[in-house]
Amino acid sequence: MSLKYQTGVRFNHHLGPQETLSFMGEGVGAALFAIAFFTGQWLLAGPGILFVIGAVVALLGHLGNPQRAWRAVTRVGTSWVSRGTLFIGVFAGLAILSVAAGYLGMIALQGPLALAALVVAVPVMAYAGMLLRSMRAIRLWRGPFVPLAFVAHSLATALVLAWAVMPLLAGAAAAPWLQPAAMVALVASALVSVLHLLRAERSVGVRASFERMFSGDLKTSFLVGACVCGIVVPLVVMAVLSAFSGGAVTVLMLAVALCRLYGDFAYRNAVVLAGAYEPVMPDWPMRSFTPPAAPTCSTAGQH
Amino acid sequence: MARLGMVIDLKVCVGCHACTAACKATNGTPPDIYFARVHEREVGVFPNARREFLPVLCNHCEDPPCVPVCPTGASYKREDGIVAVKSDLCIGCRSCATSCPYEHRHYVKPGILETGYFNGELTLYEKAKYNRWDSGTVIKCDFCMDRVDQGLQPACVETCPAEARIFGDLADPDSAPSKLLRENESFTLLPDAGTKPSVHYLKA
Repeated sequence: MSLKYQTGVRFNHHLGPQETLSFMGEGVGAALFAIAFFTGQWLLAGPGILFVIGAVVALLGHLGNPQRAWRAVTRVGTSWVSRGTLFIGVFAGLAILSVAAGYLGMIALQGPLALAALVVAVPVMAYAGMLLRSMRAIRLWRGPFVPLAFVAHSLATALVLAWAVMPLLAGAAAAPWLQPAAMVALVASALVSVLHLLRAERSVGVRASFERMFSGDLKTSFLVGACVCGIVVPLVVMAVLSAFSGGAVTVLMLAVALCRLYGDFAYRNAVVLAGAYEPVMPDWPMRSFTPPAAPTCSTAGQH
Repeated sequence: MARLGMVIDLKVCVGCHACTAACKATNGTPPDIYFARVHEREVGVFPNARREFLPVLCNHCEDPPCVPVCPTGASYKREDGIVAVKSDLCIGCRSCATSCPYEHRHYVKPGILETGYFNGELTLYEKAKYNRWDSGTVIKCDFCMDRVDQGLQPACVETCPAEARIFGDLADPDSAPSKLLRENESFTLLPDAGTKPSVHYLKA
């Protein structure tokens, strides 16, 4: 009996780390597929598809009735959950078919399929942000910057991952543009995230969200996880590592990729968990009716 | 077209929680889930102190943010304005619960209908009442629409000893709630949210 009904600020408690992991998985997976398309390294498409499938599994785990999940595509006209489900389903299907076509040697078929998957990959990356944006009640999530930030973070994470594993897949000289692209994407994702926070309306709920992110229980996760591990460490290490090569460097690159993955998760998790509802009665204190504790007896009616 | 709604007179509410109990008894909601709740606060300093109460329930908004986000059509709005959930269509994604600014949608956690209030065998009352709910779905106040369809008042309205709750058609200018709203100063919760609630409060 921990639930308190409050008249003051209340934080989102329906979406948590599991859903955040899913949001990250589908975004990074779609971005990895896009990078595979542009680099021609189709081995990258495999992890991309696995990321998306993992995200779908995590989403199914979030549902109270996963056996009815097919119904989720029946309201694409109004619901971003419906649209996202459709995009992810179509993307996964096309991506798997394009990889299979390449594996089976049907190169003429692989190109159009991959191009179609690439087109759908964009809304898959944006879906989580658009979903949050559609939840009007939480003002931190309103506006165009959450979807943009989610897309930017997905691209940045996927580029860092691709940069880290590319030497193992195709040698150190393959796709030299990945490193500058990853660094630009990291800076862009940081800028969009800062813009999101700066442009958010200063309501009571949003102020409570900021307090939780910058000085509350999400402080370490947001400042150390999202900012330091997710942006600063990858940027610095990537800049330094460009002058070196060797086995230790490869290990360091993989470590940076893991660091970035954690940072991406920490950022999204902070934004999701810090989402706050506005107080229904702003001049009322937080104190409010608390449901009574359940009796401790094991059987009703016993004395 | 009818628009069912409620006026709650804060001047006469005594904070007895009878609405909470009547709702609980009528709907048999699972543990931790209360469709009708009463917030309270203390105002002033002794000897000039008093307590104020704010009974709350689903606002059955004219523009409900919980309906369009539903991916299955389980959340819907009836022609008379009642916002309800078809449990057999609900997949338990909780998009509606996340998008409700008033926190009036409740998730029936898997297993809670089996363990009930006493963490074990359900009471006869629980066995009878929990049949109505589906595990892993979202449930909410529906203005006791089964009762309303029979021409009765919602349980919380009927039971209120102070007659603080007045239920009726807000679209009908001659209905009791419409007259009260015309003659008194009223407010709704979170008007900035743009949801246009159908539950109005008369100022204390």
